[in-house]
Amino acid sequence: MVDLTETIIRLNQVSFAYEGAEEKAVKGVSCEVRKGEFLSIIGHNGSGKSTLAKLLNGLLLPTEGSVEVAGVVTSDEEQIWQVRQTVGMVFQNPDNQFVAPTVEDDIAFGMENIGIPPSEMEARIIDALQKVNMSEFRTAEPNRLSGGQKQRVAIAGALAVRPAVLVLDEATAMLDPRGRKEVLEVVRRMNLEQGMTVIQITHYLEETLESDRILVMDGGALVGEGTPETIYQKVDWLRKLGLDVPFACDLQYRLRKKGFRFPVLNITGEGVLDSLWISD
Amino acid sequence: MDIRLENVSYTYSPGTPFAYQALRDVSLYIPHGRYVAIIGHTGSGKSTFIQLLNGLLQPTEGTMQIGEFTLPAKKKKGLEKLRQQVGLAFQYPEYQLFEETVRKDVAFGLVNMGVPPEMIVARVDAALRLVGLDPEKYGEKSPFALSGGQMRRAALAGVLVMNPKVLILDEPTAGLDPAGHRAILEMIARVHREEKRTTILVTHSMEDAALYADYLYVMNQGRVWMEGTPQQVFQEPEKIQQAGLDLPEITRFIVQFNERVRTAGSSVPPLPLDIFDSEQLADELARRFSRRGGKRR
Repeated sequence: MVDLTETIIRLNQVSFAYEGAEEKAVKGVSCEVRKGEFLSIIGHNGSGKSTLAKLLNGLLLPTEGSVEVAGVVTSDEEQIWQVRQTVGMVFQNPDNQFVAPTVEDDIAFGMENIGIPPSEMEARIIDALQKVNMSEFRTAEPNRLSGGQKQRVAIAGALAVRPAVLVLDEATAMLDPRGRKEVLEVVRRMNLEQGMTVIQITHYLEETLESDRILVMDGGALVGEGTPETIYQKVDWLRKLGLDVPFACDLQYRLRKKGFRFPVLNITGEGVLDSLWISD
Repeated sequence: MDIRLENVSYTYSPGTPFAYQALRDVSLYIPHGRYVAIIGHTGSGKSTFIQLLNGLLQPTEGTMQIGEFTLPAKKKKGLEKLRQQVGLAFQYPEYQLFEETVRKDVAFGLVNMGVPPEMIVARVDAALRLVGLDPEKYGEKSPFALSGGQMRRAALAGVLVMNPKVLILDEPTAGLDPAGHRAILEMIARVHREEKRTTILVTHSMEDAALYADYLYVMNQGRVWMEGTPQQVFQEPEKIQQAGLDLPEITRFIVQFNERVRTAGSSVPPLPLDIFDSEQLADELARRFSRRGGKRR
């Protein structure tokens, strides 16, 4: 069990406005990401989630406030590569993330960027592909892979840099259910076995159930924070924000209205069945 | 407009080393007015299937009858007419918005077809209303000033304005947040009820298929793997898993519930598998547990 007390990313009153935009995309967000945690960020379209993600590794720099990654401020130009090395990113569209003709060249590209000596690359490529279960595709052309395979290669590319934090910005949005499962299993395993910090932004609420914490964004601001069990209690509030709750939470919400009592919120269907039977 | 496919196959690049049979020997019949969902993982043949339906592709084997159109067709002219009657909204249709105003964008197809200008405005505004965008409020705005969900609606209005007899929607909710997702599907269900056309929804979501469609086709490896009403299809969880798909969550819950009833030798009656609405499930559970005291207050 990792104890989630060490802070790896700290946001201090972070705001961000895109050039020419009247309104800020991110407004006064303060929060800490703890080392080794699995953190989910939810919010409706346009709530500022993706902008927040890009602020985490210096792809965007705050217009107000500051972001600290492992003690380094992202606006420190001299150390930006250190920030990028600490925080890896995987984006939504698997087709926009490839630059090289083969899987291994693509993974090497990210390492070249941060100056990993060629002698070390080989071992890192093998290791990264193994972690995402894609070893046999090392010399494959990225455009011949399925969506889930592409995203796993994109993750391998991020992993080869050995980041302490992996940010997934709706990385499963364009995948089918099978592809989503493949990607999530990989990052979940990296989190549990290697203690890698994972921050995922997603619209699929079911994918947040195993998170240590969930952050809720609305109108660029951070409006909620807690475990899945506490966040998904607030059904009416979430719906007002354009969000929803996972199936099991919705079912209990409806059952409670019909007079059922659940001492704690069960976030899975199994849990609901257990409570129905225990009290029976 | 009834749709009938008889032993239809489609092969990309036939007769070359890259030949790939994406659709294999598909026979099916969709009567007019049905709301059909096509489910299947990536590469199962869904996209090829919908492109055949609106004449973007023509069968390499077999024949199809779509209303008065028979395919493969000898003349290109017929295909244009077919495309007017079978509206296809691609994934992320808002990427194809390009005009200065929402009205101009929605009107694009009509202008191309040579519909007289005085008729266009009324049809455009009606289509905008149909998708839930007030033409007075949004008509003269740039489509790019709209939110993601509104852009999606505007793009769908551009398909609906052609008044197609068959509406095909390829993952119309991809990338939308939960509220936008529900709103778009409710809108499509309402349009289906009001306009009485055939609606074909391509989706990865078993939940959405179960909740909205009358009839499902599960595609796998280029074939129709399963078909039937949602309750018929979801009776066979193993077969669904073989197609790389999962049961809807609500169905999985019911299956587990019934499993517990069976193993515990409980007197609680099992739940029917044709419940796809959470409120209905909650009612059924309330009925089962109130009689026994259970945990109700």
